[in-house]
Amino acid sequence: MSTLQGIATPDRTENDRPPGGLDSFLLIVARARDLARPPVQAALWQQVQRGALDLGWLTFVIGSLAGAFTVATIEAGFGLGANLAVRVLTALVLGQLAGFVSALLLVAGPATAATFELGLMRQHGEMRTLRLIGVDPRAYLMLPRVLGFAVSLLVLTFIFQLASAVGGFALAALVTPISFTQQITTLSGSLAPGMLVMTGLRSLLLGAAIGVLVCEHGFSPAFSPARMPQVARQLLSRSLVAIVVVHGGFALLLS
Amino acid sequence: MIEIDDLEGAHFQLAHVAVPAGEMAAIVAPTAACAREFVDFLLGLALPQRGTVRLLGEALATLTESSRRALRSRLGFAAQADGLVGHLALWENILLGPAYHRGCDAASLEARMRQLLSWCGWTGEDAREALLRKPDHATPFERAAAAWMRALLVDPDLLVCEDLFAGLAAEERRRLIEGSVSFQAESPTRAAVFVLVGDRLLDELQPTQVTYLSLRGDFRAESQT
Repeated sequence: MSTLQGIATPDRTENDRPPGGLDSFLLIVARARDLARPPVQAALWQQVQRGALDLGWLTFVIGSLAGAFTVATIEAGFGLGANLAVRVLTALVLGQLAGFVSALLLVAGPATAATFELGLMRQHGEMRTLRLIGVDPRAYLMLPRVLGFAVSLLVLTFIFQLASAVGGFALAALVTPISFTQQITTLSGSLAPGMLVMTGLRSLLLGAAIGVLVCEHGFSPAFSPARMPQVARQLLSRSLVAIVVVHGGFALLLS
Repeated sequence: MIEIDDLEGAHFQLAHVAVPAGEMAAIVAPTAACAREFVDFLLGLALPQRGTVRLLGEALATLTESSRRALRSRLGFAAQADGLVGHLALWENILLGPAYHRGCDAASLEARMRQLLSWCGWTGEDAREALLRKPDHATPFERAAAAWMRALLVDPDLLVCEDLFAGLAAEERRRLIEGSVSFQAESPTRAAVFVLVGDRLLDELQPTQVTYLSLRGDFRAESQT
């Protein structure tokens, strides 16, 4: 039985650690009413800002390059025509790569930062203070992070998709004989709204899963400044598993 | 408001203490660990190995976690060390409790905050600049005053301060003590508990009652943990 600064044993102390896995999602649903509280709304907005808006331009650049490289490689490299180039872009870049790369960006930056922030808050006794003033850390810290990462990934994925279509086509038009208008026309003919809805749902689910992993690692009693590199590695590896599982699961559903 | 009997924790023991409304009590702890443990028991964050704690008429051991949290939302808690959220500015820290529990009524909060600022003699441009700082960049008095204002802004029946005066100058302590007296004087149903580490500030605080926590076991072993 471990002790927290030799004071209180965990079995007799209020627990602020998230339950983990599916139970965390259920906890989030149960605490959803706390979104009406202004500080929770402010924390949610801050998380979306850190997660999505701060990475927006980088995602736009990467998306544009991914779109341009795909179209240019198929059209100029293999000479397979605009139709196939746009179809491959739709299936591969918009359908898969956008969500995958956006999730990696989210994990590498904001998710790691949020994990460290939660861990240091716990180390500095700030979670005890929150509980002592009647603020539930799971409502004030966990709920905005899980929802914030879900919304952030949705926004980043959309920015990536938009960039790879608009920016990618514009760049590809500079190096291939296919015009921008021709590419957009082909895309509008091949783009299925259902696919966009599914990638949106997938982003929400995957973003929430990343948020749960962030909270699990950040709230962990084992967190300490000395273990930060190890925590970052664990978060990255578990997030990669989540990315593969969610993408694989949705691919199976669609097939 | 508070009734404690036969309390025993890992660091201290306490036979009995009762704090009715209108009292300004001092609980003197021999170490910071004792003070912290006492506050955890008093506010129901942890359950003691032995003894009973009744807070605002409720036996804490019989309450669920959510009930204890609801009870704490009716209290004001202030601590200087680790008493604030590090990534929020002081003004955000001050508003966190009232905004979380009661929503934002900007006009009434602002009026009350001005009153609290004047009570603790913290006004003018200094206060305006300080309130924008994060706790790491604030002075001990600014941190203590922010934690104190956050506690009082929820209009609590009971104010609990944990080692609030550590590192403060005599004048700064006087301002917070006088502010607490003014707050309590507003209503006879209010009470305050100051948990102090050591008894050297009792003369300044002039509480209506004083209770000492007794160390459990060997003090030398205690001080090494």
